[in-house]
Amino acid sequence: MGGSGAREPPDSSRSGVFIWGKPLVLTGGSSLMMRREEIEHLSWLARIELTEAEKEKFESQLSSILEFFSILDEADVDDVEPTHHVIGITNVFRGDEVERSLPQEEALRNAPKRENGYFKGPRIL
Amino acid sequence: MSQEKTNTEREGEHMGDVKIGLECHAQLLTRSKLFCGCSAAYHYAEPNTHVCPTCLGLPGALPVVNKKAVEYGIKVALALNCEVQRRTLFYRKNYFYPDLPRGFQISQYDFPLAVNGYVRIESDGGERIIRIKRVHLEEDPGRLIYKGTIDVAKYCLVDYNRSGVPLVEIVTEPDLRSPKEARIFINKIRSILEYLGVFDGGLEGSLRVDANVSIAGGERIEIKNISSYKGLERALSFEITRQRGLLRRGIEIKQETRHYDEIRGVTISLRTKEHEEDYRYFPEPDLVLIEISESWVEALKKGLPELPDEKVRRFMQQYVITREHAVALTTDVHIADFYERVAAELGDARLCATWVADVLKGELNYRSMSMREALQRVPPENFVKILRFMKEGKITERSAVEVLREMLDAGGEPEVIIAKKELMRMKDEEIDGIIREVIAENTPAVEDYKSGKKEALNFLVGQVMKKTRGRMDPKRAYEALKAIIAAGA
Ligand SMILES: [Zn+2]
Repeated sequence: MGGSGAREPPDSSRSGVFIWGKPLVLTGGSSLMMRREEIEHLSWLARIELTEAEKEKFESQLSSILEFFSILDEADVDDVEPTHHVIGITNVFRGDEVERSLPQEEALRNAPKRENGYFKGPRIL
Repeated sequence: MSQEKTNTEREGEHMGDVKIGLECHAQLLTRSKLFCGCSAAYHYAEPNTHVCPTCLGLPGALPVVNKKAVEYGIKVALALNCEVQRRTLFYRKNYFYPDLPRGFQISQYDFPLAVNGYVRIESDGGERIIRIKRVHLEEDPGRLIYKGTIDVAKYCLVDYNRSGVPLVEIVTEPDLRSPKEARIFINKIRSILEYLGVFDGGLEGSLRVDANVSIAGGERIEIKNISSYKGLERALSFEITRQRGLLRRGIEIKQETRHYDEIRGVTISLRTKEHEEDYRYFPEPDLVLIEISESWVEALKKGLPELPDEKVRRFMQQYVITREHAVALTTDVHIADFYERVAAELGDARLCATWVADVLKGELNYRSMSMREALQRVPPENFVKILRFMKEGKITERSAVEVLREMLDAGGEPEVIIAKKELMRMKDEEIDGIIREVIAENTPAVEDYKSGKKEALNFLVGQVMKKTRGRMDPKRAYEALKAIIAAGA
């Protein structure tokens, strides 16, 4: 990545508005619309169940948020290095030393369910 | 394809239409975890005793990068001929799974530690170059335990001792052409990492592999959860056979992710809804940029040990042994060191090569014993003693193998074993007596031999070997029998 010859992030060559890496599909007119499937996909990713009324509400709210953000596209950033952090500190390390861990009882204290020193969780395929 | 393929792919068959790429995740042998001070030696610990707010994902905890893990990662990258990047960055990979306490894994994405390397492997068709796409660091998730198999269990148990153990991920280009080649590659990776002293392939679960496989005419299939060296070849063979079956029946192969079931040896569709963009990678705000200076890389490069490929070249030159022997001796760094000590002490480097690469390695494989374990029972000096007794003609080759076996199984001094098992080679008078006995007991065979049936002598040699329990060379028995019969016994 030496200097400006950095390997470009996969998305940087594209332009426009993206939702999770996918170009936003414009639905109807010139406004940026969040489609119903996208709301549902987002809700699945976040594991938050939404009612039909909420989906409708978020559809319009998220669409307008996207619209606000699209204003940023107008800024010329050709000569600007990507900013990952706003603070200029680099190379914060710790030495490879073992420190004391929590006792098992303490570690499991907030667990809703446990068994033989393990956290108990749902089965996931 | 004009010819029907057989049901299972033959081992080692070079499959021109197969493309395999691997993602290998290897645990780095740091003392502490990647982002916190908890001990990374979780293998024999009680569950959830090597955990702290950071690796449990408790609110407010702050990860700090273990410098040693970064250095180990750079060493791996250099050993795989990669370009170490000047700046590297950690990202959050977001998804929900019980083994991830925070709901994201700290990994790398756009600015990996290193890119563009290669590894040489010895395949059936000679040397092959397998390109390495990238090398990056990430944290291991926790360990999930299911009662019974994954599809019948009602719940899972989670142990976060493994959560945060440093992993180096090595991603290849799709350059591998058969399941066997994939196995050879993964063994080479294991060998290199062990040479570097940053990895222990003998630890359960220390290397896990995801594979992608495609055959001409089909889309790429990803296989997750391959956690053993043998499993890799089996999973790939199964998957290629399955894909060929689909194509033969005219069914389209669509891109998907499948799970490898180690017990049944099959891959199962995961029907996953998550694609790369769904991981919503973004720079980990709690960890700052890592800048890797030229001088840091140079210092680590200077500290690199002699790696397998160089060792093969040196062994061939220094010990004047075949390439096959040199490769066999250098796969495991402990075997390579053992060989060098034995050869230095005995002096006969070629004899030592045969006895270490062929005999000892064969016995170790048979016992699934590692060289490190074997060293407890067969230190180099004792191995040298066996070979010395054999060279001096005190024991036969067959007895030498017997002594070695006994030592591997139960330990002990070679002299004691030789005495206990009465393996000392027999004296001439003793041999004479036994041969006369065999001749007397097998007159029909002796007559057959005298009348020109040469095979009869082999039978008589067998009888002598039986009586002496291998303490005599078959060749010597052969000569002695011939001489005594000719003398008219
Ligand atoms: Zn911790």
